[in-house]
Amino acid sequence: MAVHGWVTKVFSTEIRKLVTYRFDFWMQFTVAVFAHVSVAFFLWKAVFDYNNVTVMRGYTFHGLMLYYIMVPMVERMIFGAGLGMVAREIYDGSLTKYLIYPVSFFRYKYAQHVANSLIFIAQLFAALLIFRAIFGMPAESAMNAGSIAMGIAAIFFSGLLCFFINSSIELIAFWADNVWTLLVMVRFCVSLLGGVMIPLAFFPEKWEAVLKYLPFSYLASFPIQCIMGRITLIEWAEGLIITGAWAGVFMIIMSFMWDRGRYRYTGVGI
Amino acid sequence: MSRYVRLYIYFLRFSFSKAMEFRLDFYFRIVMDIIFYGINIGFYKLVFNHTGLLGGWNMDQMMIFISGYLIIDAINMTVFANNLWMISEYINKGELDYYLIRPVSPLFFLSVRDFAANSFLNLIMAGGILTWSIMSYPEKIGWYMVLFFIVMIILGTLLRYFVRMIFIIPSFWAQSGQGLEMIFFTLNRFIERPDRIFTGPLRIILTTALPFSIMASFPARILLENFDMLLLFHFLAVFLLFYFIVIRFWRKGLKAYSSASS
Amino acid sequence: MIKTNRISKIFRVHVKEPGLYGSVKSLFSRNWIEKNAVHDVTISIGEGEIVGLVGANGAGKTTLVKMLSGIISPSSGSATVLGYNPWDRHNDFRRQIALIMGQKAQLWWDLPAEDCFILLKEIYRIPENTYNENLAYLTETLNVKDQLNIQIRRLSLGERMKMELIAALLHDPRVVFLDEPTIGLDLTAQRSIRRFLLNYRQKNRPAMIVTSHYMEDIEQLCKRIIILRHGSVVYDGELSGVSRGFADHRIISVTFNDDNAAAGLKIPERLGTVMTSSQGIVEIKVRRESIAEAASFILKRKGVNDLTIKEEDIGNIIESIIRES
Repeated sequence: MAVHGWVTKVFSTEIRKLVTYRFDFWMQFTVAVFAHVSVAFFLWKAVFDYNNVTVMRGYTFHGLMLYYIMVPMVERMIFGAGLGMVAREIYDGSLTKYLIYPVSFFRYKYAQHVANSLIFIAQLFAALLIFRAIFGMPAESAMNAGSIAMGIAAIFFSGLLCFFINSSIELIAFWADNVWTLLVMVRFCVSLLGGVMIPLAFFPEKWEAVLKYLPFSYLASFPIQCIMGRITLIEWAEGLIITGAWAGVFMIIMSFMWDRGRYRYTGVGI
Repeated sequence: MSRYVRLYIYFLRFSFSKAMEFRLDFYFRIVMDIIFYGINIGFYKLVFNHTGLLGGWNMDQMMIFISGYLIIDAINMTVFANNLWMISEYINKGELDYYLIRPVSPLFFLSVRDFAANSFLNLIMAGGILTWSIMSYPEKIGWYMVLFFIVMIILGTLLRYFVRMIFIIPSFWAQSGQGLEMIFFTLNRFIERPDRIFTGPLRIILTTALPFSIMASFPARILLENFDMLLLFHFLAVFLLFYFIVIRFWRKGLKAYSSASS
Repeated sequence: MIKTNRISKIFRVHVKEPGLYGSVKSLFSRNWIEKNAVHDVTISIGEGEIVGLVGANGAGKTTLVKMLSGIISPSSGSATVLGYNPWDRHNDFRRQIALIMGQKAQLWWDLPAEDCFILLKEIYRIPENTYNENLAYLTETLNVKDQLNIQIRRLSLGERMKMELIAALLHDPRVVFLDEPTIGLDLTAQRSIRRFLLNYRQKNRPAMIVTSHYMEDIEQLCKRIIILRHGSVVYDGELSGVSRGFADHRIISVTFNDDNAAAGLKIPERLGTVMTSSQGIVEIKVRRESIAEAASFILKRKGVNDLTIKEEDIGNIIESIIRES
């Protein structure tokens, strides 16, 4: 995609929005990470204490905490900010303004999505550095520049996949009034089957093998595993191919629905 | 009082007739909640693959605790959720005006006007999970204890509503209260874990100032363990305290609204 | 019925410097300026009176209306409406007033109008008979019987405004505040709402305060007007009195035999200025004290057929009072 003037414009607007108007958002995000990690901390502390072991399914307690810290940030990068925005725009009629912009609607939305992710990369690094400074790196960690690069690449693939999944769902708004329920369903599935609540290593092995071929784990767990250095180069390539394949499937669904839906669009309340 | 009951009956009536209109949405919601119940139970099943006890409970006991917080969620989704979403936006956009000129409590109206009939079935499902987990519990639980548990779960739901309101009311002074509300939702997950896994200062906070840990955990403990008067007293004291805080705080907010808005 | 005594409202407004720097800075320190929205307003409105409240944007009309309906409280001064202090928001007070804001919807978007009305019936405890009678009368005169079962959000702007009017009047309010009731509506809808309001007033005789941007609303509905400028009352009296008090000009309209004679008319600047001239008719704006002189000057011209002296249009006069700074 050629870097047009409007792309930079979208980026700077999104960044501005995040730093200024969304000051409260940063605070909220910090609390979210804190809550997520502290719930995991106490839960796993209880579990490790009960079993009286130091390693479970290849994770030390230390490593598990690193995993949980990364989860909300990586998830945020992959999902972007505007959950349900397109659907709302269809519902209240403000989609019209994009239809008359001289840029592709989806490129515009994707630019917004990527801009949102970029800011969080900085935050992820900051969090990793702080974690290292205070707690040190967990014993099983093989994290290095290479694994981080693999992780970032995975995040962008996953971001694209997520964008196509969400857009396909949001376009259902052309036919149904409330699609936020569907978006929430995806989040729910990702939270358990994608490894947000519990790393996939804790699933029974048969499950783990199946989950590998479903899209959910690529929306949270996979990039984190990459960053933590738990993925070999071959597994990494395999993962990207699966992500790409799913992205392709949803891209086709999305463009089909967009073509169909656009003609149904009535622009309520214009 | 009876006027409020009649009003509420109208809310219910309109909501059910509206739910018939959005048939698709109705099914979406059922599926969404089934998934929600599935991941909650699934999560604990996974955890109990790796442990025998959590927060002093085994899986059978955990199931009763889980159904407790699922009921809290279901009541909240049907009675409050649709309404509470909107309040801070109303405040910020100055749309409380019409609620202030009517001879009826604005807080009542704003909190419960939009009953989510399309979530109602989920309430039944959550109730079903509770029944099932009580039936399959190895020991027999007396019906009066179950009733008592349900009453406490309802109080827990109201307590959750009070706490939620405390996160909403600052919108009267702040330009945008959205961030604060999102904080509530992230803290909400503390409801879904047994209170006893939390220790230290966090535990104190979660059972007093931000009483998420007592909303579902305390009712379950009273049902599953030896009756603890102190625990019940703690629960009721926090409940009443938050009730009074919300009423006072809301009045303060309205006052700010009428002296600051244009 | 409505009395205010030196009522004032001061707002603190937060001024933000533009741009990124400004928004970051405003997180830490804020500049506040005080704005006098309503200043020392003393008015009194009797039973069944209908009063137009006129002023430019930001002159304090809406603020005054909101204070009188109890939504906001004043910074100083006092008021009584129906014997109550409005911002105590006593239930008996709220049961007897109605407020319609053209820019803000009171009805619930997701419900059909009729459901909204039933809720209002419960809220205001309107007896069954009264409710049925009022609803029949209102839907009939506003001609919206067929739209009662359609969700509010699917109605046109005009229909929605009519529903808003019904919603506000169902409980027979004794005081009605109408803030920009015709804003954004097309001419037909404006006219039918105006016609309805006149009809309703004759039948029910509530006290009414109307604010509007459209002079036509005011001219047709109100005998008395109050003009606000920067929060203060600059005129309070009969609508027709405005021209006496404020119009220092009149219009002389001259009809000539033919266009050429009309075009050739030159008026000394001292006497007045030509406003329009077409098809043999010339309109001249003349200062009050020069009318006699100007008229005799014109009558001496050749080809004058007819000459009339008119008051300046009230709308224009009010407009100029509002604009004056």
